Amino acid sequence: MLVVKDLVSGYSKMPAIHGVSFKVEKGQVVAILGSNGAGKTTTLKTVMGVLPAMSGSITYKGESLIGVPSHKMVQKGLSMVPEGRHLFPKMSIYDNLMMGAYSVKDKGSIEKKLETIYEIFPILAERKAQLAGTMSGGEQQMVAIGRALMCNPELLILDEPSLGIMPKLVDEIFEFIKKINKEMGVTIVIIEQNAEKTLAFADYAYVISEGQTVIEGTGEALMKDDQVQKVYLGMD
Amino acid sequence: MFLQVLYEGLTMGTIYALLAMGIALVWGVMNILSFSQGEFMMVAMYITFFINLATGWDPLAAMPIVIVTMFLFGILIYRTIIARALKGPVLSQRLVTFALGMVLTNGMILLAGGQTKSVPDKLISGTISLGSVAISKEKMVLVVTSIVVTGLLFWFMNRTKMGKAIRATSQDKEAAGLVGINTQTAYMIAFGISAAIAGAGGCAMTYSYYFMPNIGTNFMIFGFIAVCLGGFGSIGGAFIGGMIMGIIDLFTGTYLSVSYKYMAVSVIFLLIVTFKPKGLFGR
Ligand SMILES: Nc1ncnc2c1ncn2[C@@H]1O[C@H](COP(=O)(O)OP(=O)(O)O)[C@@H](O)[C@H]1O
Ligand SMILES: [Mg+2]
Repeated sequence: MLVVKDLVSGYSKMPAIHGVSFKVEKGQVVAILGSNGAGKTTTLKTVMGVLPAMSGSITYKGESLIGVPSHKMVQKGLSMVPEGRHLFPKMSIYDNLMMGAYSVKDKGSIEKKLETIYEIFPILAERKAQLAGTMSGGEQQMVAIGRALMCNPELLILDEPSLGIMPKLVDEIFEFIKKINKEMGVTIVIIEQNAEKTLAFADYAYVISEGQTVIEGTGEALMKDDQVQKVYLGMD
Repeated sequence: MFLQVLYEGLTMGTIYALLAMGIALVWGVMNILSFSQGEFMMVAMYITFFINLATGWDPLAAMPIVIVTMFLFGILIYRTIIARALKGPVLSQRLVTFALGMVLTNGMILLAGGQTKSVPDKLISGTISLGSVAISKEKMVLVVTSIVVTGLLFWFMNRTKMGKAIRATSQDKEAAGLVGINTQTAYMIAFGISAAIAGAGGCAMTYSYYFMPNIGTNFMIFGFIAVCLGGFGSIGGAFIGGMIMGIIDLFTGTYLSVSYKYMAVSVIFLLIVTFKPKGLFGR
């Protein structure tokens, strides 16, 4: 579905990643792991057209995404929950969710989607008039995920959804992500530093280190590999 | 006397409010300090004047044309100048509208001469006496225009899809792009709207003001202080800041003297920028 090959990208002409490759099949949960500063965010921002690619290729359903601006991605079926959530802080939860449906033409489908999201996250329905900026980290993450789902994506990219969230809530967020994959049939790419929890439910995982893909394998295989865990994921 | 000054102050305040809202809109969305907002108002006054000269139309009849023309003028300025400055260093982003204002002023001197102009024979004129207060109908036109424009602006920003897209872009540009908003278009429309606001204000002002090509500068300074009072970037704050500036303007000017007025206003400017950089209501 999504194929990224030898991707080079970065900030103001300075490369921050030097050859990242990975593949995502329809229906999968694919994890992109790596320590802080490894280049995970840079990679996926480039996929979404937020940053321009310097070289390499990005293909989605056989079509190149190179040069496609980020506002066109939702129409192609890609959506992203950015690192740090990036909500519209002075808008209500309801307005944040509705902004997620900005490119959706069919009004009826928007209402239906909103119902589905309120079912997954009932707290958003209770608080729909509250300003997004005044919510807790965990609640904001729910809004961010809900907003990204409003455009009916086929592929959802989540950049560190567990960042800055109470440990108690992290498990809950991961449960939601599984649900989105299994019940709504959305393909997932999840970026995480929290390797243990992520590998437990990812079908396939890639480890990025210093701007390059260094290792890949099924979640299970990487879980069992002590070497990988010590060297790249900082786990004991 | 007091009520009369209050009325004049509020009238003046609506002008400053219009200027301030345009400046706040542009700053909030694209972090450009719109120094040329006063000159946009001046250009609108001259467009009104020339329409009147050529066709004899009253400013009120010409207003829709002036607003649309100024909107398109704003879009043109955005595409040719502002969009380029936004890609450049911060210094050019800060100075570009300043330079543009100078070009507009001097261009208008070349085109129309430096003398004062006015629009003759207005459709609505005279005064209404309300006790001790004489309400000028010409100034009422300005007040009503400002109120309608402010109402429309709030409706547009809060109720329409494009308005919400502009607000979303100003709150988080990256997220706006990711949900499918073309942020370049949002910038352009926001800039066009700020010019259109100046268009409505300038057109209505020809009802009760004489004008010359450098009229924009004075207004712009008051407009900027109004934006600072209201907290930079907040349109509602800018409106209130504008009304406060109008009242300060008239009260200091009437009860003290014009030289006190400018001193008072300058000191307020300095105090706000130094001690209350987020405005009177900012935390
Ligand atoms: N806005 C930026 N400007 C310049 N360099 C950046 C910026 N964001 C990240 N970087 C650099 O790019 C590299 C990769 O960062 P990032 O992709 O954010 O890593 P990760 O998401 O894996 O933590 C780091 O060395 C980081 O310092
Ligand atoms: Mg990151």
